[in-house]
Amino acid sequence: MIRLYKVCKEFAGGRVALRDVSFDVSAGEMVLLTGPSGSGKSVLVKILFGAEAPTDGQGIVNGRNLARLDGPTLAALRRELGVVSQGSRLIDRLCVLDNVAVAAEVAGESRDAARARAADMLDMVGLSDVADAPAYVLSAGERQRVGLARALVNRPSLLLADEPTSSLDPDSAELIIALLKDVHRDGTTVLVATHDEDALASFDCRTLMMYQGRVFEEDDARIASSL
Amino acid sequence: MIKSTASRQPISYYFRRAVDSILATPFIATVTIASIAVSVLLAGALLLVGSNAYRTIQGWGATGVDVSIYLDRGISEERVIQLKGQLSSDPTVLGVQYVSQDEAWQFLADNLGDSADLLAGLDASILPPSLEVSLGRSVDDAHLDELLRAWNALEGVDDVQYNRQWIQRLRNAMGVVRWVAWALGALALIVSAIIVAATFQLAAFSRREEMEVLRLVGAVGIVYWGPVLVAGFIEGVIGSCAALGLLVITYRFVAAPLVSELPLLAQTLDFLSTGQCLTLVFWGAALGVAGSWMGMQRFASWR
Repeated sequence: MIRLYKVCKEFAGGRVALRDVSFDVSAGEMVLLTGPSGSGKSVLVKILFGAEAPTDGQGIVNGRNLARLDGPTLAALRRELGVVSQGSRLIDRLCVLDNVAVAAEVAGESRDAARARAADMLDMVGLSDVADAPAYVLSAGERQRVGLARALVNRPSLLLADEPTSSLDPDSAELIIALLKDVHRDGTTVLVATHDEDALASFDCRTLMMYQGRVFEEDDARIASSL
Repeated sequence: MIKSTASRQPISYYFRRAVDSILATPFIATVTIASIAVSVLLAGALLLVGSNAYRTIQGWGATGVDVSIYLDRGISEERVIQLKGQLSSDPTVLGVQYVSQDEAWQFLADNLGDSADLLAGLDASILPPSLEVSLGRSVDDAHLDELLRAWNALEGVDDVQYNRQWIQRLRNAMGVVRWVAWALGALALIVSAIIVAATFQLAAFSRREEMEVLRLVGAVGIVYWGPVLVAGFIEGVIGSCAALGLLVITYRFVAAPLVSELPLLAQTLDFLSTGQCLTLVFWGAALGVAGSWMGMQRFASWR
């Protein structure tokens, strides 16, 4: 599902965000990616869905080579993935239902089918009652749940979540974590990048740690010495 | 499951999304429409004035040369007949018509229209009788000068006036006016292009959030750009139709008093043709689409 080999990312100005990052994530697996702020988690997630290009190394996501993503291939990859980011971006002028349906429409569904599927997703995240409300009236927690519904509306095989519980109140964070677990239980591969300790404690799965642009497996002795 | 190739959407998708985005940002949409309307209005006004001026000059030029030979007051009828015969003997003369003092008076009163009361207290005797001579368009300036000199020297002739001179002057003036119009048109085009481009940058900024979400969910190609371009097209059509409406109203207000003051213009004064109107609407729509496309270039480098 995900295979990275010595992936590096260096920004203009010489700031190195990722150094020789290598790991695999198998289909159906759930993986946590953690580490302090600035360790490179968000950059790594962005590389996984093509928002950033690696400067070196090889990466394959869902069978697509990250080094060879032209416009249409990148768009196709995004239609196959679900992405939830911190403070989910929504189109405020659209109603909640249409914010979710837009991803299905872009993937080729008719408007009616997209809205029907979006309604199912909103039901799943517990927001059916606000389906017709404009997005700008939602709380931060509700926006995140709508973002999750939108990420799942195309039934992706891989869900990437970048700080999905950040800046949420405990109840909303708990709800998002429960939803992510449900999604994984249904067979979706899930990668969650977070530095939220409560969230980390809630998951019982493989954990990758990041520090200064490098990735370590949880039981790697170097982690202790470097953190 | 998910379609891996770029999706195609029915045309209703693009119009629905375009109309949604216009209605969601009414202020920016209004400013955009207004900037297109101003641009089309400028172009339309220049076209309207230009085509009417051209038509009028063409109409005057098509009549060939008309010479008015003013006769002495009290000239005898016999002498008038002799003069008519002399004038008609030249092969370039197409026709000679005698206009009596009474006929000249009536003609003047008709041409003054609503202002005919200016003639109150006067009578036909203040006007001289005349012979109106029509010459073919082919008459050259040298022969014309020769004829005028000869006619001016005839007994019973008071003065000779002809229209070619002032038509030529008018044409020369129109040449200058045409260059000024082109310069003004170019200036208006540049100013309106700057205004429209700035407006569309504003519109693009207001769509930033939507474009980010669309990229995130994998929109590409026509699905990504289509609604924005259709919104520009709709705004362009609305803006140009509004401009045409304003132009019609202005024309109605200006044309009637103008014809009343100058009845001769009634034959040539007209609004833009259907083809010209359609061209202006097309221009507005093209401006809207091009402006949207340029505004969206700020998102072209996004991954």
